[in-house]
Amino acid sequence: MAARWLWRSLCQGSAFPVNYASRITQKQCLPPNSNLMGARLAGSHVDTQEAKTNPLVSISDEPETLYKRLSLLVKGHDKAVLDSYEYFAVLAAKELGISVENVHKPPKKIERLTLLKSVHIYKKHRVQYEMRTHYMCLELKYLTSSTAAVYLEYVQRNLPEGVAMEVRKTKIEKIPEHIQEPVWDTLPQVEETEVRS
Amino acid sequence: MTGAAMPTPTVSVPAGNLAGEPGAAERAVEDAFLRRFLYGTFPGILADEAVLKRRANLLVVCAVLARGLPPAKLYFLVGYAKTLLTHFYKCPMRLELQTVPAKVVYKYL
Repeated sequence: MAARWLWRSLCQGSAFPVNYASRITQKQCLPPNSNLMGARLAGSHVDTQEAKTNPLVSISDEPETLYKRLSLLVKGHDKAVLDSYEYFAVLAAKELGISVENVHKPPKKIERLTLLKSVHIYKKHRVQYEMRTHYMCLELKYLTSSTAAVYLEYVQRNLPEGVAMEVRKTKIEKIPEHIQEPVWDTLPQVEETEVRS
Repeated sequence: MTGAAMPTPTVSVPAGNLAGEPGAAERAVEDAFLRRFLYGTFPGILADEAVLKRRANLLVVCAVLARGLPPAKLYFLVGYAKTLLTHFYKCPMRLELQTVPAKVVYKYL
């Protein structure tokens, strides 16, 4: 019962197409019967077989680069557009299982211009224009490069018009070997000579 | 009652006008050219100002036309506009049209 309720809420809440939901049904709706246990395992095996023969999925042996933080800074003129995009991006991250570190909105920047109102003279009469840029920063933590690629592609293809995005990735690397031990441990020990003044 | 024509707001918000984004001037020039081009390609049929949108490289032009020309001529003009603009701006271009029985009136005075 709980599993079915979870599946229903997932179905209604997910923004992804039906294929995703149908894959969940195969795993959760089968009762834990001894006769069907073999069938369920066979079903999951079929899924991995499909992934291997799928031309869009590539499997490589290189170790993946790990990202500590993926920071998306989204800029736009309209705050409502940015709010709806934030909801969409956070939902997409949750559905893909990416942990969201922080969502914050830096203060807006206004660029103002004061120009002459008339073509020829009338210096005292001017016109003022302003351009407002609203920001929204979404920070995700601990991703692999393939997860980051998938998420970024999905989120960037659905970027609304008139909105710009900057992406900053923070890599995790192993400490290089020559720094791993402090230098004073590796030097040969010198006998201390007493200084007599 | 005379209808007042729509005050012409330029409905195109490219990302070039945001703080720190390049290409505002190029987008403005492109927009001006596109509006004049559309005004000339669809003579007297444009019911309202065209809405220009840019998604990454794709340029989307949404225009409202009045029903003045037979559909065959309209299809030719649409194909001509699309191919010419794609080759001119080196980017994929989509033209989304809607026909309307008469010009849209903004306000009756």
